[in-house]
Amino acid sequence: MERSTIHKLADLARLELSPELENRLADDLEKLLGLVSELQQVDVSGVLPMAHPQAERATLRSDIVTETDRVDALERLAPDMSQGLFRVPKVIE
Amino acid sequence: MSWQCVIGLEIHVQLATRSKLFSGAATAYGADPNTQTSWVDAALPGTLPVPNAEAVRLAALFGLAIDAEIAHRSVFARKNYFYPDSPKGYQISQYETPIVGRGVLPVRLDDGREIEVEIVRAHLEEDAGKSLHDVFHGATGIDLNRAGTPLIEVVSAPCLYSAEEAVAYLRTVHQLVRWLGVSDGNMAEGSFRCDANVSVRPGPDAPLGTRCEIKNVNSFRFVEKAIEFEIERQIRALENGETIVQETRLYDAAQNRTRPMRSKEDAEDYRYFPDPDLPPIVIDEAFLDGLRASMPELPRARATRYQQVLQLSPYDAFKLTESRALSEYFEQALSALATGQPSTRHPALAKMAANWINGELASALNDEDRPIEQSRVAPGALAGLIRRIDDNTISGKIAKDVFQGMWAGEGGADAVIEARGLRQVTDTGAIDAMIGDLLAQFPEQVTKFRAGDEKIFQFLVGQAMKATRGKANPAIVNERLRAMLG
Repeated sequence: MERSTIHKLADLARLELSPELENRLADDLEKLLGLVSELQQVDVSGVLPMAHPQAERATLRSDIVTETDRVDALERLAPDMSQGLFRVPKVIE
Repeated sequence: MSWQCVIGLEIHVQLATRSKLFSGAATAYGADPNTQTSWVDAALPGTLPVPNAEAVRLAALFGLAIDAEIAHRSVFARKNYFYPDSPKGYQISQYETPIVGRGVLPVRLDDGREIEVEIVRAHLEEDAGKSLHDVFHGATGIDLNRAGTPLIEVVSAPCLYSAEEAVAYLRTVHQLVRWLGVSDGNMAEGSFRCDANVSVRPGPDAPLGTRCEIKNVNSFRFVEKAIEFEIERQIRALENGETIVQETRLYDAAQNRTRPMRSKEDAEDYRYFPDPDLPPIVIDEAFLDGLRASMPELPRARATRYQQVLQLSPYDAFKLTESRALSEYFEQALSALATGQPSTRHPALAKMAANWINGELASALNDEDRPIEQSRVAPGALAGLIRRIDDNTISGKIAKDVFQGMWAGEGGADAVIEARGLRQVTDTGAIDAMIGDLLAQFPEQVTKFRAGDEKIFQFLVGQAMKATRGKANPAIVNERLRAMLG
């Protein structure tokens, strides 16, 4: 697998990889792709793509508000929250 | 060289549901931050999305209204990208099998020209949360109240060839979604937003040029200005021998220009795949039949009916169908007016109602920035006023005073006419006496008129109307004056 592909994937996933991890991932991904290429040889012409392994169709819910204000619980879970807002590193485009 | 611009719009329409697309959290606008954020919206591990039936219904209803194919089986897909206001690390959207397929929307331009806009697809997706950059110093605040709010993204083909066409199309979609109750269409609150893809090419037969996407412009006026600026910018660049870079640009309303936001090299790689948390949405014919049966008369059909059956002008017909509420107002006023009248009189009554609604009523509403639903004069009451013009109780001019009285809460037309003593004088005896006095008062003018100065006639009519404070029937005054001068 090309190093540039690994770098691109890491970038898309917002991951910083150490050289050792990069090597290991390259091996793992190589094996995964080998498996996928084997799968790709199966003739699936005429087979409808399966979006979900079990249910045939989604069960829909009625349009009713069932949730209440959980901001206090969210605050206990969040690493950094203030004035009801999750605080994250500055992101500006 | 004569450049042709090509525009396609992606319109995000927030669906008018009470709860979110995949959770039971409320969608109401303006709540305190994160007080409408459920475990699902915050993407806590172990939570699962369950689709909202009403969102599916509204999306399908929109699809039927644009004559689109509705997918019997549509699939949700994950659109993967990292941004803090999308806590799952992906947005649930639709990719290969959107709920609404190819459709078409006829659009009338301001100059009366009509175009047919091809809609490629409309898919269901969830909205992201909001990033607030100016609350904290050196940090961004995230409010997930909006995260998971249901949207449809309506994607047009690149088939719009001017800023004017693009805005007319945008307005028509806006009118339609509000008409159907699919969305409140509130642009200030972000319920209706638009991205514009703009490119230019050397002529209609040339291949499409490189496009730039202008993001999230939130008013009709700014969409038009942003597109116009972008067309000019691209033409200038190409004429200077530069190439257009495919990128996302932001419109800066204060400076009326667009500026680059991010280039698209990497950003486009969303790695869509079917969401394993969500089985397909299945829609059967019976469900669609039910929707078809519930479909209201659409604005365009109604405008056509107003022109063909009621013989209204295209201007009146399209003006009255701008919103469903306005159109319902007209329907109710006309129905009150037409009761007991032969159908041959309906066009004349419709014309009067249209004039009043598009004239006095519209300006009274406009003065107070008041929606038609909250008109101070109800449709039945307006019909009562028009009836008094129609039966010559008052003149059209006096009717404006009566309307002001009604608007001010002085009661119905008859009550205002009585209380203000505005009943039109049609008694020829009284009018003759008044004209007699007038002729005695202006002997010089009478002599001039009799010597052939026709202008004097209008002066005398004016004096007669003044003497009766506008209450004399103008037709009778004209007739009697001419007889008595003759």
